[in-house]
Amino acid sequence: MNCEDALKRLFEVVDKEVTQADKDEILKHLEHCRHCMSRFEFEEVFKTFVSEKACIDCDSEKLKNKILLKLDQSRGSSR
Amino acid sequence: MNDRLSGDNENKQRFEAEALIHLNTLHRTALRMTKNEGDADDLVQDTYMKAYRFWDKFEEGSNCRAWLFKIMTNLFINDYRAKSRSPQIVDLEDVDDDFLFGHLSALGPADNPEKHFFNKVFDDDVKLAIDELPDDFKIVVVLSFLEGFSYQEIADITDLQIGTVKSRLHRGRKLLQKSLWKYAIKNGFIKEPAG
Repeated sequence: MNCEDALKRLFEVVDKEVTQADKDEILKHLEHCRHCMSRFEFEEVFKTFVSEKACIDCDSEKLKNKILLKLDQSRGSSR
Repeated sequence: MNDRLSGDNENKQRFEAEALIHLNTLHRTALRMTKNEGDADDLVQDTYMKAYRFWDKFEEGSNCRAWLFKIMTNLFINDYRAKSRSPQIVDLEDVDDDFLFGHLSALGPADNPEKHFFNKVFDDDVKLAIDELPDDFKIVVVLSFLEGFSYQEIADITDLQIGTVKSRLHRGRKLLQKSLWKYAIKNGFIKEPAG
């Protein structure tokens, strides 16, 4: 496998969309190619970085109560 | 009547146990999709009301979270997107595949610009960068990055071909990286090399 082939699969690896056999083959290339290795690592860190920064849990308690109330109302009106 | 009531109660309990436990993840995605709290609240409420109406169509044992996201994504695309005015056409001609990696590497290894970048960029900038994505890209980016859905699950949720999911995710990534690079320069975390 060369750099071009490895980079073609880059995001599938980051997104965990490759089979173990494919992943092993790509990893074999990365072991010998520092440039590809740092690019793969970078894109992995980038994805984790974005999800962690944007994934802060919001307070959904109020919304939950509103929904429960609406569900009760809809049941009442269907009777 | 008693049977009916106990049936209703059972239904309600099942709905709460299986569907309402996903409220928090739907809520955070709704916030990114609609970009404001009022619309996000409405979108999530509409989603649950619709889900409850079609609760008997939900196959027990299948993925309830994905089913709810499908309802919410459809509602967003059909009812809410019309209200927001984010640009849908983007020019990515000047954005390389390795945009951010390339730019950070070009700063040289001396002070580890990558680490510097990831430590410094604000949470709010990341949220803003996602919010500013055109909806087509934002939907797949949020479903993948924030919610961890697979390509196939995203294709099912959005009714897109898997190839379209992949290409939108790819373009969404590039746009995100371009925005975050711009914010990092604007905030002075990164000094853009002269020339």
